[in-house]
Amino acid sequence: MNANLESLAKIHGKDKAQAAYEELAELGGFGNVPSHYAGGLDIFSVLEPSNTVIDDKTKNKIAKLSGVDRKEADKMYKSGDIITSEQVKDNRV
Amino acid sequence: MAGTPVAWRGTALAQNPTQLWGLLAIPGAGGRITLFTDGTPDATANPTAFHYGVTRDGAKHSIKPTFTKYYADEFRNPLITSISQVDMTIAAELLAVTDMDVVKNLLSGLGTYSTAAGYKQVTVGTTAITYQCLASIFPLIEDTTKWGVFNIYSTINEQGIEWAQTRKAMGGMPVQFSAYEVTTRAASDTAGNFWKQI
Repeated sequence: MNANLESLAKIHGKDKAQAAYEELAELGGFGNVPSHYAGGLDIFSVLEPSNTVIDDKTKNKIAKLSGVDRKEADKMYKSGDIITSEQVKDNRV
Repeated sequence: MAGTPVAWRGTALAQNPTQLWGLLAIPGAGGRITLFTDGTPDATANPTAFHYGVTRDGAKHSIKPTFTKYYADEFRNPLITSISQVDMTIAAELLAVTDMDVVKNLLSGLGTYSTAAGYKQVTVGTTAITYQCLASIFPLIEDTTKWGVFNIYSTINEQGIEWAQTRKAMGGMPVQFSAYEVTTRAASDTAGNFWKQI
């Protein structure tokens, strides 16, 4: 549920990890975050069923690129272990 | 005719300790940093999350726009305004002065951490500036099992480090993390997010 160069290299190989990272950053609307960014990309935040900013087709692409099983991810959202979009109010800057 | 109901909003108060977390995973479009229900960053989504430890007086959160006002000769008050710049910051005084991991993470572009038998150190010189996603996470007064989050997506500490080493007082390092634009995010969501669990 976190994508960084290291995790992507395990899925796509070292040579293609950078390209996968850039594609993920674009698909998920993370912005131009460099691949050496310490925390990586929070894949949980974009695959969430209640995140309507990203369409389902794109979520599937993101899941495939980051090696996430969407069914397993959905179980996590339903588990009540993490705070989901239905439970928040926010203000963006 | 009738009056209007008052809204004292007496539970929407800020009076609880906060936790400063850095090196978080940046959330995507429409998302927020993923938190476990205990209010800490979810470890699967944020494997590098770093707790900055105790503070002298908690953290100060700010979002400060600078307005440029435009005047007409015929009127004394401005006709319109625009926001020429914004500074979004989290400031605190950290007390974990001798924790070399804390020091390293405060010295982006300057500090290099190393350790071997018998020592931990941060050498000071030139390194690449690396930004981090930082959040201040605090329990809400209205329900202390729920959380408020002030999150900057891309930031560095601009205060460096400084503390007084003395017998008479406990040293602390004042820090200030300022937001930098993540330019290719959605225009309404380039710097950070202030949200709460409901």
